[in-house]
Amino acid sequence: MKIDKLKKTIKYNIIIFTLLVILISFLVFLYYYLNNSYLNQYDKIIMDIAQIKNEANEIDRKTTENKKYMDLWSKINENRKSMAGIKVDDINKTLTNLAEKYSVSSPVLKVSVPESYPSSIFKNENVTLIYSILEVNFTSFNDVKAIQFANDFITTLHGYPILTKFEFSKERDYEVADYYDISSGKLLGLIKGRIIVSWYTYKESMASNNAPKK
Amino acid sequence: MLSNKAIVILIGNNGTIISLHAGKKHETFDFIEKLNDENKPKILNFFNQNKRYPIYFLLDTIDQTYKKKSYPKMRGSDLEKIIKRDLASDGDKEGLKNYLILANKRKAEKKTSTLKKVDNSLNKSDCLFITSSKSEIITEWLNFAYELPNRIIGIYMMPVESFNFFKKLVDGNLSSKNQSILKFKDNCIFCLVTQTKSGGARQIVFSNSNIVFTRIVNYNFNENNFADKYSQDIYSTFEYLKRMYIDLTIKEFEIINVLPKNVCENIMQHKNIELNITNHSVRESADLLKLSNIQIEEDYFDLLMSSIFVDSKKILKFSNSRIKIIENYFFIIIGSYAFNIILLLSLILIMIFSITTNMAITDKIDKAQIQKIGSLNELSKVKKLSMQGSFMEEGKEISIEKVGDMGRVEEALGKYLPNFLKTYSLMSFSRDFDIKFNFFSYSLIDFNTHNSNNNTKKQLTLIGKLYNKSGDIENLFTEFDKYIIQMKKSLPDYNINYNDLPRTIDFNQKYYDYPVEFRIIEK
Repeated sequence: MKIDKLKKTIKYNIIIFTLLVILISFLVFLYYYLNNSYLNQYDKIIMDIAQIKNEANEIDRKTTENKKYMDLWSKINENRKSMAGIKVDDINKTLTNLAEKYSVSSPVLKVSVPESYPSSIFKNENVTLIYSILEVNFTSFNDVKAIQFANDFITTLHGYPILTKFEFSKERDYEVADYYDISSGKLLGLIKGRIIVSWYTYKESMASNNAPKK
Repeated sequence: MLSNKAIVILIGNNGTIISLHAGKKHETFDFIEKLNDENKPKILNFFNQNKRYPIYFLLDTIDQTYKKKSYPKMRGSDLEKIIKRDLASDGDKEGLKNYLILANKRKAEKKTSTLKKVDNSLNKSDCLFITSSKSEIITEWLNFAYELPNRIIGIYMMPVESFNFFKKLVDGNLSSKNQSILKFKDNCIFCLVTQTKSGGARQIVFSNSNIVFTRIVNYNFNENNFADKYSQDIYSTFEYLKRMYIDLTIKEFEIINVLPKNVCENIMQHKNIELNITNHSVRESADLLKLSNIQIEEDYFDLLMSSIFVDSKKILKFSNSRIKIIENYFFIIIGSYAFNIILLLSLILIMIFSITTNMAITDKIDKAQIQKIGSLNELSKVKKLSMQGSFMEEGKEISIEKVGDMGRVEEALGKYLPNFLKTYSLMSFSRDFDIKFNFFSYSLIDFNTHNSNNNTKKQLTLIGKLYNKSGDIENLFTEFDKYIIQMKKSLPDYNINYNDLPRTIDFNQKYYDYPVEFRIIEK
């Protein structure tokens, strides 16, 4: 047996061995690469399916919600839907008129600076809600007028004026001299009233103008 | 090597016999007196046709020497080191050299042989050095064989390897119905007398475990005094053995002739009666060893020996550096083939695994794609059925989203819108009682202006006086209780907190009015 031939055979075998090792390494690499790629592809599809299902559920939920709110929409007072915002002059005017109507004296209005109500609270996307606190202090001759004044004042406000506090007190009972003083204008009344209202109202915004159209 | 497929090149001083053995197939090439350019192509052709078969060299040459040497008893590995050192120190660097460590003397003496030897010390190890000079004929054949495509396994000495033949022959004799006196006995020494075409006649002396020595005998079977010469040779061999085995008797010295039938008959006619001789012709031996398909030529031992050699476990291999290199390369090739086969199988397995795994994943992907398409269809259906976009109301376009936004605000805040008057009017029953309040308060408890889900409650606070015209304390209690009962009746959705009239009150005193305070909280 020729040594050269044996050496050649060994050389060929080593080459085949090396090729096989390279091929196996390549195959293993390819296997992991493809496997990983396929798994990623599979995961992506599964994620897409989950996303599609979520979207469908969200649309479904919104549809149900929209149906519910469409029913509610017709029941919502137009005054509440108003987009007039907060105009202090208008409130003062209303207050003066009501004070005159119910013989309420020296109504003092305090209005906090209106602020944009965070949209995250009611998940508003298409309307802007603004918020302010109103405080009215007044003097009245009797409790009935004071209550009617307070009630009318709140009723005339658009949006959602929530009466968080209303109190009135009478320091003492009227005496005969008090009636004289009232008639002469010296006394404005013995009933002291205080109204605090948390007022939420809509304001026209860019978002509402850009609402999607059918 | 136990392969029974091989080519044996039996080299003797008279010539060479090449024989191929493959199971029951035994093929002999022509007897080659000398390797020359004329017969080389023919021989080469023979080997090329049978290149799958490995080559064994079997030497039946004259220049083989067998020397026994004793060493002090020592560990096997140490003994081998010393023997190898002794072998290396031998002057003939080119010659073929090897050794046989004879059976452990202590054990051999006790179990297998009762023969008393000259040097019978139990604390010695015996070694048989076997050497053969690398004669021209061997060198020629080896150089020729190096160029052959067949694998050379090694060089073997015919006398050493003929122990297997001897053993089989003895075993065959024992199992045969044709009983002879030949059998293994603990204290026997055997002398095998054979004749090969390549090497001539030879005496080979065995103990029951291995070769003791061998010598070439020059016989001419046609000579008249052949039998006498034969007997003389046997006696001289016996005398030589007596030097080693002092207690050896002629009866314990068994002679086995594997010679032509007429020669055996001649020997038997003239032999001394005390000689213990068993005769077998080569054909008979072959039949006894169940090798009847061997073509025996002129009762020569060559082919039978080669056949037995191929079929038996080899006893002692001789080698040279070239054969060792070939052997190493051969094992490297075998190893590399094995590795490559393993790698190839791994490759196939990995491929199958990759394909099946990837198919499984792609199958999953296909199913997921189908599922995705189903989901997309479902989504488009839901989108079609969904309430989106806008609608017209009194000439104004209202988006559904705006409706949703306002609806949520209405849901959260609408419930607090003015019902204050309604709440206040719940107290109208007070007109039926002589009671006057000088303080009234309405408030929402825990109202958080920045929370969509308030858990707020209404609270009314009334502070005033309960009047009692009679001043009688009992009337005061009665009126107060009546008022409370009426209040609870009118305000069932509220918890009413108030201070009871004190029971420790002075009953002799008149009470025309009494301060009261009510805190009314929504349930």
